[in-house]
Amino acid sequence: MKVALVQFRSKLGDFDSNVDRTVEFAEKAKEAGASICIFPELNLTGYNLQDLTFDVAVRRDSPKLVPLLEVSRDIPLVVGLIEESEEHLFYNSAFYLEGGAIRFVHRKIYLPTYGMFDEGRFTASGDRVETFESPLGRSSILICEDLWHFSTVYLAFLQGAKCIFALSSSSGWGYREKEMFDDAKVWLNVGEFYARMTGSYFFYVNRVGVEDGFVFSGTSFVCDPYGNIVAKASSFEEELLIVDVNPALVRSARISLPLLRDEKPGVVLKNLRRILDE
Amino acid sequence: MSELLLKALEIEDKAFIEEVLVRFIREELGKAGFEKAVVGLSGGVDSSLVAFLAVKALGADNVIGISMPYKTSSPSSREDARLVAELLNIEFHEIEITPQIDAYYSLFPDADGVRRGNKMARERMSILYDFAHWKGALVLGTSNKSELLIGYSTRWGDAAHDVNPLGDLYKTQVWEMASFVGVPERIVEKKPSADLWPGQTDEGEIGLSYYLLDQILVGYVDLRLRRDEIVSLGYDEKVVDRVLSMIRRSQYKRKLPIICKIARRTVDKDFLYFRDWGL
Repeated sequence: MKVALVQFRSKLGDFDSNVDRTVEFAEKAKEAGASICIFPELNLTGYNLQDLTFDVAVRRDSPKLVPLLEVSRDIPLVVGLIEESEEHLFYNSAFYLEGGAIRFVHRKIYLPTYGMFDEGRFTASGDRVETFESPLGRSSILICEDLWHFSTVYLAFLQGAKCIFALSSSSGWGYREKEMFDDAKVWLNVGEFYARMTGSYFFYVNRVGVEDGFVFSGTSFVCDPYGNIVAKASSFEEELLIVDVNPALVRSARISLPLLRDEKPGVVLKNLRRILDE
Repeated sequence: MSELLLKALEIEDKAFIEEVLVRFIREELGKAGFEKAVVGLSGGVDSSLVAFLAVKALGADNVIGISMPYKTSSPSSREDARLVAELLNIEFHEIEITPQIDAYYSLFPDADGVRRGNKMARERMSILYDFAHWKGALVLGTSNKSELLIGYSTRWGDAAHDVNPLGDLYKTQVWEMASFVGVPERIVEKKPSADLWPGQTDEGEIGLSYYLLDQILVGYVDLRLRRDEIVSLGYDEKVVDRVLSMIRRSQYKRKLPIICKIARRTVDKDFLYFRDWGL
């Protein structure tokens, strides 16, 4: 089975042009034989939105999504955007589109608001980690900072996720690594770790391009359930990365390392209750 | 001297960082609709590195180098500015700023060196922007992180430009990168100078070497170490205090003018959009 990761270059605040280019990539992914096409965090809007957050936001029933819904009849998509709720709260969300409909939504839970990040000032945080059925089987979507809190991955793991779609707009920083920014190296480590600890496929899809001197660090990759990086994109180029994946490896990895079988959520819960009550 | 701070300044992969800077220039100019850049060439290492990067990013045909000496500028500065332009095969102009500076100061013959130096820096800025409009170009900045942090620049003079590829590199890192991209050794190795008067050197004026300055800066800024923690790494407390005070006192230079808030939404405070909005 083939999976397409699109290392996308967004136009900051230009929803319509990003939709057009997303559709183009999805069509190319379809032609290349991919079963699903995954885009980075906020690929339809760009990342450093600040007050643009409120201009680019769309409701789930927005007609602006129609071209994406149409192409999802040919190939399922994961896209990133600002979602406006009924109550006019704004979420950094990822939509899973398939067969002309929104089948699943993940709202980013952890909003980095420190250093170069200011998300908590503009967006509301989600509060659910869930799974859904993708062409690859039980899957979960997490967005960037969500992955820096390992509870999110743990919750997806317990709910049967075999694939983790990690969407990111990671801006490059650090000059202590070779051939990539330090943050890109950290993401590779994170992916290897999570894939191995959950016996799952880990798909990391990051942006490229520049926003006011923030140079996105690319290096999107796929890690197999044994923790091996099996495909990796470049640091700077917009790329359609088509990767062969073999869901049978999840079974194989989980027989070799039966961590899910031995997991003790009851113990976790008991301890969480104790910790919270103390 | 601390291993920790020296290590924090080391660039592991200069080819990669060069690529980042080249792409940054190409993309930020391209998105704004520009193919060309204007660079003020002083003959020093910062502007030489920027010219080298600009040529890689935009091509030699799209970079315009301008040397703007004053009568007291050292002959070697003039020569080195020309040398960089010749090596890179870019359009080059040498524009003497002596007439306009001297005409102005004939009104104030007693003006001191700092006043004159600031005026020269702003005159050069004015020429760069004149060329930028004429040539359909943006002005590339050459301010490095060391000078930005201690305020060793002229407000609206050399500190004014459109896109700055060097602003997150300390001076000692600029030297490394310059050497790596092929800036002639004699430019990399000469003593840094604003060349505002004969014999002036940066390190003489700042009162310590860039080597030492950069270690204290990287500790304070990048590693967020506190004053006492830096001192305990083996740095003279007087020197550390001096550096921290230079940072604090020059904060105004790193900011745009402040606006008095009256209304619900104020341009410099809560009207927040990136410059690359829609690009």
